[in-house]
Amino acid sequence: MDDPGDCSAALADLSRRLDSQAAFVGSLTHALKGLLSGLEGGLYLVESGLRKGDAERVKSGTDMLQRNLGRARSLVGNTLYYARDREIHREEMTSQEVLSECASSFARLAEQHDVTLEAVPGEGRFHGDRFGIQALLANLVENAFESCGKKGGTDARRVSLQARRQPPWIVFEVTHNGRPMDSNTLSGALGPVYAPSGSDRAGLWIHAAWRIAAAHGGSLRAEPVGSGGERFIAVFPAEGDDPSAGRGEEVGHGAT
Amino acid sequence: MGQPRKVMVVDDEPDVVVFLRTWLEDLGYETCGEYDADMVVDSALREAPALLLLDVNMPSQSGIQVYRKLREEGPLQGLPVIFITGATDLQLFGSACSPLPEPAARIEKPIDLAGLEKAIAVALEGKGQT
Repeated sequence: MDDPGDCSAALADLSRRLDSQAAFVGSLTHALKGLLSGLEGGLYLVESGLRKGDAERVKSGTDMLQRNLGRARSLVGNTLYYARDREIHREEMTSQEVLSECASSFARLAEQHDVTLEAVPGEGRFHGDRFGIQALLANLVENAFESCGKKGGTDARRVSLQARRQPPWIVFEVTHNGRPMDSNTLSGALGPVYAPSGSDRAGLWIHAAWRIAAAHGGSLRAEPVGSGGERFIAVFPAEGDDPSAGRGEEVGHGAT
Repeated sequence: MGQPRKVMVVDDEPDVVVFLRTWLEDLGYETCGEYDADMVVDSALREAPALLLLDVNMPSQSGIQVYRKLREEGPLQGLPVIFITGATDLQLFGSACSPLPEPAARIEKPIDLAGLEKAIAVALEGKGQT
């Protein structure tokens, strides 16, 4: 790299990557604090429930602990992909089990926030990194809930998860009718280097999802739907091989 | 012992609301909860709590914006508010909230229950005990 211009561009790129990593660490810290509060809450409910002989409270506590362990797994998945290029450890799974796990872990949040959450698992076995796929879907669903929360008004809030085989791909879609992400944040988050501004966290987790899709040889994109809301479409090679048809950016266009 | 005092817990994380409401009820307080920042003012007017525990980082609007509205609404101007949030948010609070009165307390997550219990007692001091 003898050309000063090349050197300057490399430094600028490195600087953006460092900004992105620093923002991720900040967001991760915030998420860990929420996670710890959930674990402490679950433990409190279990311990106090046992003291009082209140089986319902104990059950509520174990449910809380399980939900937050799921969040911990998702955070680990995100961190593994955000920190560096990760070697994919693929295992066989079905879209049904992946979507069911995701929908189940968000069921209580949906109830509390008055969001109708539906999962349409479709059919299809595929190979992928379970940690990564779960983290990606959790990021997209969390974003959908936040978008619904920003929507305001009294219209029903809806989030739907769908999966389908479109050989050689497996396609996941997360659709919400909340407020779409602003276009600047979205275009930055759905790209190789993303340095968020200010306290923006939503873009960071979408970017983490983009990295997971890219590491699998797939893609993640977004499109507007209806009179509001948006759909995120994640496409993965179903068999884990590198298909000759690119990264699946065009797969699923025009899907309902 | 006087009437139980009602504490309202506001957080977009349902687990935090359930946890804090259960803990507060074990301490003898009445409680109510709200997950939606947009609904806090209406809920507070309806429930008439003696104290508000308020998260800062919420999706539709921040706790700081909610706090500003509470201070603008006549019947709620004197309602004590304790912020419960992450350190980053507390740093933001310093500048974003400067024209407003200080909250009763700021408690950092993960929550130190002993510290929160003291802060609640202080916030309610002079207004009767549980």
